[in-house]
Amino acid sequence: MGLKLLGQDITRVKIIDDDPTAREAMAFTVTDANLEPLPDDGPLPRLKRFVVLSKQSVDAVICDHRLKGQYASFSGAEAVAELYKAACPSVLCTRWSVADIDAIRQYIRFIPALISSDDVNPDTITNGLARCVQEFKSEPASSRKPWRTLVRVESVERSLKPALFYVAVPGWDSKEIIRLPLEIVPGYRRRQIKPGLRFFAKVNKGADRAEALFFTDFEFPAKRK
Amino acid sequence: MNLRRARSPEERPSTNTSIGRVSTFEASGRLAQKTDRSGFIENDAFLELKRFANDALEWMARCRMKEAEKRRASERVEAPKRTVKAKLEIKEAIDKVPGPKRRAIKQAFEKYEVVREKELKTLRKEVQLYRTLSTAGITAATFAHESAGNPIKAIDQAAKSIQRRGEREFASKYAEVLAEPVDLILRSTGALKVLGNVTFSLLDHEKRRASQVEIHERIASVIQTFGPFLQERAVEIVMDFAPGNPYLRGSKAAVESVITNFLNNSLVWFEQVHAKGSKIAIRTEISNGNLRLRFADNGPGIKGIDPDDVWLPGETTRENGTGLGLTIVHDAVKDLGGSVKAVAHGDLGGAEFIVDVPILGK
Repeated sequence: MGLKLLGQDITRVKIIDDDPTAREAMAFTVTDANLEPLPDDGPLPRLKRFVVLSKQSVDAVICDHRLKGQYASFSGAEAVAELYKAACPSVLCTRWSVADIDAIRQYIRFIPALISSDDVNPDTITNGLARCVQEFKSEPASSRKPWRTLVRVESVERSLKPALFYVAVPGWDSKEIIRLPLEIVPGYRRRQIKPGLRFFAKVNKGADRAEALFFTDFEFPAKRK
Repeated sequence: MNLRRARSPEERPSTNTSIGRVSTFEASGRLAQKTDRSGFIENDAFLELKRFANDALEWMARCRMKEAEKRRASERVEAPKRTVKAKLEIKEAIDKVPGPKRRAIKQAFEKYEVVREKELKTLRKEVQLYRTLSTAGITAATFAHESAGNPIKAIDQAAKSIQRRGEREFASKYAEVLAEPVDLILRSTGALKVLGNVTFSLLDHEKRRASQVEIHERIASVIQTFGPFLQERAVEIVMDFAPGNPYLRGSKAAVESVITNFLNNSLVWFEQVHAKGSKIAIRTEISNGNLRLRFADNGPGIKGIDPDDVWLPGETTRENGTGLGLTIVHDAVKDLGGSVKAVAHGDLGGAEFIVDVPILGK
């Protein structure tokens, strides 16, 4: 049992899901991928501690995005992003609903393996873990490589929860409008977001769909004096 | 804030009303005014202060809402009393009218009362229906979330695992013994997922935003969401779209609710009368800045009700039907600036609905 992905041994895989039945079902798939499943019954410790313990006890983590409060004090996206920063290969499972994407968007930069709940199978898990290892060892795949590019704000919806803004990234696709939560912009800059505003950000222009785009390193035009 | 006031004036006072003041005494310079004369102070201390002010406004909005609710409750109690009093006054006034005219006015007033009572009864029925449907909608949304997230996911993964292990361990024997029931489980979970996906898709608030809506894309998207369900029920869908990409200004939700309600309507009738061979045809034609959408099925057609009356709320010929689906279609089409009519037996022999909406371009 176990896999060697780009020279890294992966055998023990922690399964994070607040539903015991879902954990059990995921364990079947992990076993079918020739890996050893370790479902975590929770409640999980605080995020920092969770990351440290995971690094010590397992080789990889598979995590559902929506985790109920009694099970974890953080979302799956937060967990996977922190695990990534600690170089622990992790896969995030989500239903790809619009609300999920809004919540995940600010973490996508640190989530190389984001798979739909419908697509969970031994191959997608193995490929996802391999993508993580590749990013740790060399550079990201072309679909994940950030490029400095122009972003244009189309409209803003501040009264929604979460507040949203819609942008076009001509360097990626001039026609498609992308919906982003306002919280991905640094707090003191949010007031500046208005229709027609153009700014630079680092965006993975090789992404094949809008949901996989991440935005970092915002550069806003200097205000007029 | 102005936008939020406009959306709920009852909870938030207008711009002309002073609603309070936040005074701060701060000597350590953490709220130093900016010197570039643009915008507000941009630091954490100011943002915290702003959050405080927003929270205070939220609190006030909740208090005002409670007061408004109390007022409405007392109005609900007072209104019938006022009606009785007004009626008495009218009757007294009629009694003062001289002889022959009095009788005619009395009869006319009694007739008015009967009509008014009927109207009230219909309105009460409609309110009750909307409440019931809202509850059903909320329950469906909760169920959709729970089922899509957990049991369906678990059944799907477990069945796929049986499939993988069976193929590996039993080779050809698997295909002979297990493949069929496992495939059935996987097809059925696919159809079940549709219920959750449709509910989630309808709830997406972004779809209620006014924007440019590409009609063909929306129709195809609804059909795709229903896909596994339609496949499982062997419903053949024929889409014959006019060339081009017609679009209008409206909400995606309006266009989707038209198609979704037509689909629901057809599916329910298929369930009751068809064993197999169900067919739906969706066609579009464009002429003179107008898009004509024809939605036809080969169900039983419209029976027992005048096709012009299918749009009325509560009108249904189906047991346990809500009689609201087509009313929603009618309202949604009206919102899009168009019109809709029903044909009892259309091109495919079953009901056909013809929607005309103005488009901005193609």
